[in-house]
Amino acid sequence: MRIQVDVHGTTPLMILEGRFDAHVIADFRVNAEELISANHRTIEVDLSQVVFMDSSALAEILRLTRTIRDGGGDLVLRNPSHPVRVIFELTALDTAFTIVYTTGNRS
Amino acid sequence: MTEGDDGPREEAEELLDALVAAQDRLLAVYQVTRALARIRDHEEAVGEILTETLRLTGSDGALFQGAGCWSAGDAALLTAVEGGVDVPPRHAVAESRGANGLPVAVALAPVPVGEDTCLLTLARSGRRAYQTSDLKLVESIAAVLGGLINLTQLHRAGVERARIGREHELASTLAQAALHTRLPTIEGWQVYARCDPANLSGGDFYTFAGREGDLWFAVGDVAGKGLPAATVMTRAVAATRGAFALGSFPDAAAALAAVNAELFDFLANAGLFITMVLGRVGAGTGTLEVCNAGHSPVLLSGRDQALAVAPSAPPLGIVEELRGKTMVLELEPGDLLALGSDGMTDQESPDGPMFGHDRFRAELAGGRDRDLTELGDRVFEEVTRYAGSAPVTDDRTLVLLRRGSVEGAMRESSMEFSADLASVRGIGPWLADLLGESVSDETAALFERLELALHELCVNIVEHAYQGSGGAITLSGVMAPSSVTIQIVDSGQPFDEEAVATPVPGVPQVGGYGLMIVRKLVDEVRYARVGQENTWTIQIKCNKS
Repeated sequence: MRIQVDVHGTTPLMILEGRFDAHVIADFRVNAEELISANHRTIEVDLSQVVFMDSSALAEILRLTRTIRDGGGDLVLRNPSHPVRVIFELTALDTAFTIVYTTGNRS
Repeated sequence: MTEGDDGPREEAEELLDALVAAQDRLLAVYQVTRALARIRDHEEAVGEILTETLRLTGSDGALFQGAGCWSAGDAALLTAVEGGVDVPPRHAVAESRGANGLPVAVALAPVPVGEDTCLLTLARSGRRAYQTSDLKLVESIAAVLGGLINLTQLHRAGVERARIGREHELASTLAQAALHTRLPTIEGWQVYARCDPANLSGGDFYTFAGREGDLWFAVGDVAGKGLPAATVMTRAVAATRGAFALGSFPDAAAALAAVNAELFDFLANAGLFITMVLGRVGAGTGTLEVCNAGHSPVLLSGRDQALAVAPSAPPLGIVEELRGKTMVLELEPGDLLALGSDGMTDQESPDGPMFGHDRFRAELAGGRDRDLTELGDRVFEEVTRYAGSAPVTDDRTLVLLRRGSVEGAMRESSMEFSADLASVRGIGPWLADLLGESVSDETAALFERLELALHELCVNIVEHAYQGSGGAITLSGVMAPSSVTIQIVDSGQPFDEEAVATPVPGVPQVGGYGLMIVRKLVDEVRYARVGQENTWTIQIKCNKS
């Protein structure tokens, strides 16, 4: 999975591309924790280019959401792709996250 | 005060003395048993009772002989009285002389321990002879000692029985592991095999071997059941596999003769025989040959009729040189050969009559278009249902060999990969190959569901069964017209459902979602631990309208 981090906007954005599974969780966590330790309260994650997601990745997103919310911020999931939505729906966790659908580029 | 008044008073005092003495004995027994409560070790307990006995009886030495030998108090005194004393039927008093020539008063009490009788000897130096009341006390203590020793022997016997039980269970599990866990695949044929032993293990078995494009198979039943039959069974499986691996036989009868030759001496010595049907099928053909050494039921189930394949050789272990006849069967697509065991047909209902060959035949008759696993499992279910509350009389085994249908050709594929998270990603390409080139939406949805389900199970195997330390995972898939079935086999730790916290849908929890997701994605999830291997089977039914 490719992880791009964009810190130019008001909130930092992680763009994930490819397979988001047990194999890449460690990478993802390193990137996310860097942003948290840089005192960013809210973090956005773009999931539009994720082609596959498993329950380990789901658990990691849950863990990260809790950490950030405990710090008074939020994790915003942008444009989850079909495979991501499937796993959210299977576990009925689609309401547990802040999910936004946008078109075009981020302002 | 008159003389006449003394009688009743004396009687009353005697009675009072007796009551006090009885109360003392009760108290003594209470003290002895209380001493026991503090002690866990048997040796220590006997020693403690003897020490307590010295105090309670005012003795200088105590000796307990039989089922071991313990003593307390004055050793020199005991040496004088030890040995040469016959166990008296009741408690008794005696007098002896100590090493210094001084008289020693002795009290003897038999202690009943199981079948034997042990002896408790107490000694007092000087002329302080034992009184009748002392002897009552000694008898009470002897009873406590006997109880303690009986209890210990019972406990030891219990521990021993438990140990033998565990060994039996382990041996049974090992024996059962001799059976194949992975089904063979051969082009143009579908294979089903299952063996349910009546106990932990049994005498039924089946085995397969691929050789030069043929699939060799054998299904057998050792007379008897339980561990003795299982022991012979493992030997029979080894002999059969050995024959398959080593020999290049012209036909099934020749292979069966080789297995018989290998086992004959062993079976003749044990006074046992084995019924077995052995045969081979050719890849991509409809030809099947078998030699039946007294085994039943063996049934060829065709489109319009079913044919029992009669024995063409005596059971193994009867004659030294077995000369059987090979029967060649031509199967049409959809026809199947069913190799059962008498545990199926001879299973009785609670009212008495057996399941029988007709029911067995009927169960298989309607199964041409059914999924083979479903068909086989259904026969087991029917036999179990028929048995009801009647005891399971024997091991049940069923092997089905079905010639693949021409129109709805099946696809089969298997892959082995190492248990790490990077290799798990090879599942997708393998699955795409199994499902075929079709680019329909239906296949795409099927692929998506199966890939995620397989991925979840395999990640679990990597992280939990193998605990990240690596190993091998084997996937075997069958794509049939009406279903896709995939087996995942690993040799990691057994799966423990209890250890998995089942998530409540919608309630966030970190972890534990894997299996829940799998269950939602596929129509059936089964887990089995056989021997040292875990097998997960998942199935999705496709409704091609």
